[in-house]
Amino acid sequence: MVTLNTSFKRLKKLLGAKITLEELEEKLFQYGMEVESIKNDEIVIDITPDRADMVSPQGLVRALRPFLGLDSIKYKVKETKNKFIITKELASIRPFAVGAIVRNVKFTDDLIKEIIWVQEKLHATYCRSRRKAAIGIYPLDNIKFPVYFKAKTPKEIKFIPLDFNEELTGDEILKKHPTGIKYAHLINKFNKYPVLEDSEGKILSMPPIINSEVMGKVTKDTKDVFIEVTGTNLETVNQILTLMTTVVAHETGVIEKLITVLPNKEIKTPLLEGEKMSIVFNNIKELIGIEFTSGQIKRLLKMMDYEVLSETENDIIVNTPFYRTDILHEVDVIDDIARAYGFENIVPKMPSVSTIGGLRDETLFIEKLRDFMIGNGYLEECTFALTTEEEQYKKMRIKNPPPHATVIEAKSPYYSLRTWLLPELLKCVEQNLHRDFPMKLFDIGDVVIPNEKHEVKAKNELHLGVINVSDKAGYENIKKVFDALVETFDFKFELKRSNHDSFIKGRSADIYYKNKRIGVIGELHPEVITNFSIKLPVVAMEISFEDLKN
Amino acid sequence: MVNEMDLSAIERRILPLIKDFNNFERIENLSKKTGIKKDALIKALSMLSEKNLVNKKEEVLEEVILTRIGEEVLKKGFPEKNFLLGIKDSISIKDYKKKSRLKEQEFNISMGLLKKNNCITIKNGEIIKNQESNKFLKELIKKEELIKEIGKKEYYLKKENKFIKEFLKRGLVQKKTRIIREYKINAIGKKVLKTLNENVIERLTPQMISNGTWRNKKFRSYNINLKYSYSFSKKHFLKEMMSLIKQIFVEMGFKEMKSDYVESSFWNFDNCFMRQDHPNREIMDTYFLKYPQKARIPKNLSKIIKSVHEDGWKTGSKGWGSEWSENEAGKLILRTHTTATTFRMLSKQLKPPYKFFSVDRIFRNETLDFKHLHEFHQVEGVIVADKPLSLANLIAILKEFYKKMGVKKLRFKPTYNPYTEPSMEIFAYLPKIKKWVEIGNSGVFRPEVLLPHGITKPVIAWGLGLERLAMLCYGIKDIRQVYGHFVDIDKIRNAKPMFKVSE
Repeated sequence: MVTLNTSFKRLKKLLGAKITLEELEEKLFQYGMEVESIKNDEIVIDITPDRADMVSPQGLVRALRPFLGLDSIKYKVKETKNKFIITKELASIRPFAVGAIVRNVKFTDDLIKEIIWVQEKLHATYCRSRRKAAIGIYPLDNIKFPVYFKAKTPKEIKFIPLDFNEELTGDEILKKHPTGIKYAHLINKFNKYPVLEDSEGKILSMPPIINSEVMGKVTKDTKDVFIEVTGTNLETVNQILTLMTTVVAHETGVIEKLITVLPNKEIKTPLLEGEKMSIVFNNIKELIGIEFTSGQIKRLLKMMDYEVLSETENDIIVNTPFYRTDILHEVDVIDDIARAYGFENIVPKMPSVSTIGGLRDETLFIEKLRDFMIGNGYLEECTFALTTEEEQYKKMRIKNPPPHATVIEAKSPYYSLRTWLLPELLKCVEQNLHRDFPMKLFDIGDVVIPNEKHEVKAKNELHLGVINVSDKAGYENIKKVFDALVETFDFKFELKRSNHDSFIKGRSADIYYKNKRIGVIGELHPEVITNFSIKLPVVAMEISFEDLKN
Repeated sequence: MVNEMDLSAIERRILPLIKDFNNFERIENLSKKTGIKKDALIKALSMLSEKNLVNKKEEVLEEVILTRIGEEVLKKGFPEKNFLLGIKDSISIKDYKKKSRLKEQEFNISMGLLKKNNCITIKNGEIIKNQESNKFLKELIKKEELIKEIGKKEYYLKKENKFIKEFLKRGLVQKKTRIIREYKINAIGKKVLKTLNENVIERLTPQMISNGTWRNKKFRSYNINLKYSYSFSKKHFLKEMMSLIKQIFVEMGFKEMKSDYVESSFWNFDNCFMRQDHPNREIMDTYFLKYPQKARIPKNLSKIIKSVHEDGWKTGSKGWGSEWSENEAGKLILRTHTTATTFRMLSKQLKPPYKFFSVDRIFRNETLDFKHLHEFHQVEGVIVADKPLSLANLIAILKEFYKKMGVKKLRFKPTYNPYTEPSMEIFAYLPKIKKWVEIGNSGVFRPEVLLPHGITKPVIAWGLGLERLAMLCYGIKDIRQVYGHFVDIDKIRNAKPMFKVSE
């Protein structure tokens, strides 16, 4: 979850209106955001991951003002002839970059802190750890336009990176600078690295790694800045530039649109225009379930900062807020109308959809099987499907494990999907050695069996696992249950003497159904018992019901 | 007064044996005199004393016993005494060391001790006996007498004793807490003894029934309040919750659906309109399979999904605007939600209306701790009608569903899901903890996820996590106690039956 950390005081100042904390919380909830915590004046707000525009207090306020009935934020925008030129040689490295200028900014402590915050948050989330996009901000004074985005060999690149006092080459930065080390993997596979240079050949930065200490350090004395975003997706770099530029310009700044020259086209950036979209009245009615008047709809759209362009009998044409990156479809606009109206104000309407319900045959069988096991005095367990090869096979004395599904990486020590339940039940006993014995446990659950024929190359199979741990446990204790099971459910099972390594030779049997081995029953080998720290005899049985499904 | 019929077999046996003990007698003596083992006797006598037939006196005392070093002193006397006795007036250290029977260490310690107590003086390698030594010797003899006393019989520390204190310090003795138990029969006991009937049945045997010998006897009455340890069986409370929820769905006309734990990214993510660089699709969040690998993907649907992602296809959406890779979609994972199951169902292009549900397991790459499980259970319901279903319909269905679960007050918060729009988080007011708690997620499916399966009318769906609900209902603080092998078996055994999920 992305959060916005700011202060209530700062929010009120940026909002420019009176609001109590309770009102703010209520409005945010209605809008779709939750206040996660408030401590003194510090406020943490959960932002849903679709709203990149809300990770700054400026962005939050921009969305909130019309929602509260206040005027929308208007930015001062000019155009310049200054150019930002992206060369072809970056096509296979980092093909896109867009830039903007913001003048007359008051870099207060608050704003500098917020810029760092937004940059970090955007980098970590929407920019996919700088891979998809990365942001750079530079004092404008030292830069001679046009600025070039080039590719150079690591040796050609030489500048003092931020927080250093000596010149390093491109390679040295990736090896010595902490930020270089962290993000080296993004460019070190290329022969040439991306570089930002002004018309006098002064290096501004090596995106997406680090700015120059000389050319790329914004301080409280800075007034005018150049902002650029480089990346692998043009739409994303444009969106991020728009968001960053408006955060910087929010209070006093004047945005200047640059001419960004891409290899195949020229665009004036940042993009500050929304998109035209048609919303069909009937679709609003169908999706929300309320028949609004066109006047109501216009008012609700305004609350969400949409500009209504025109209207026909069937639909309404809107211009979407330029800062929104999440509007892909008409339904996204209709969702905004519903939020403005308030989900809580929607009157529930029970739909008349007449259908007949029912459980799967397997579920009905499981319920009967559970009743049977409970009736036999066994306690039901519910064990994990992810486990370890050690417990599934090694501790069970199985030298050649059957094929089993495994995962590439796991934060918990469980890498393997179970192919049988008995080891999992033994783990339950191991964790409960301090409890009363005899311990009679069962679990009915799915195991996962690899199967090339299947679309996903593995299949769930329903198993029953049963163990009886007692100082008096003997084969007869489990065979009785097996016999009762066979009798109750009319199973056509056959037993054949087993060589299963987990069991004592001569005291175990394989369970066969239609000449296929579907399970095992018997007295567990003392080594297996000891491997799970148990000190009492254990008898057990496991049956797969996969072949009985019909 | 106690009825003689209340006495158990052992009490009946013991009471006559102690009938003459009118004065308090130590348990050890009673055991000797009655020939009953001490432990059994204590058990019976305390039962009798609970019934007030016997008087009991218990005293906790500290017994002093000799240690191994103490035993040595008992045998040989104090080494410093022997040291002193070996010297007439004076002797050189060298000679005395040769002559003395003391061990080197004893010798040195004794010499130091005596010097400290001014019993001897060392001068030019000579040990000179002082006048003081006589007094010291007398005291040592007294100490040895005490050691003998301790060695001979039970010695209890009743008041402070400076010698014992010193012995403890020197490690000659140690203290041991002992309970002295004394019993005597009382008047009531004697009265009950007189009424003691020989013809009492302790256990009714099959023989008694068949030969009718019970007729002339009385049945001993039992203590009906005694508690016994009992390992009874019970269904697991989480599975019981699943059954209950399934029941609710069936009542509301839903059919159960199911799919496998192993799933392709195609069904789990791509069909849910989750863009291919979505953070959830990374190895840090999702379990990707090392074995087996590579799912087969339905060719026609794959073409459509590719188009939906890249440019929106015919759905009216802009799509994600980036290239879609079938290779990425073919990666096998452990499903991260049962929405994958739902989309497999939708792809069957059944004739609406239909309603489906599942309560099944899902997986997330998490570190297992008190707050997180790496696998848990998701509840999911979906309704496809032959007409559009709206947000108003969804709210009504949710109110009905949660009412059946026992939740009366609900709130809805707009939220974001990749595959639904609008989307709502469901908050329930739980009177037990007096809090609004997020209890589910819901929404109307996006056209981007419906049209590929030929569905043109809005479809509503919702889901919730089972473990969170179980924790709230059962007041469980550690999620590892909800299910899995870490769960305390007694928690399963003692879980209360549930009639409504959230009560």
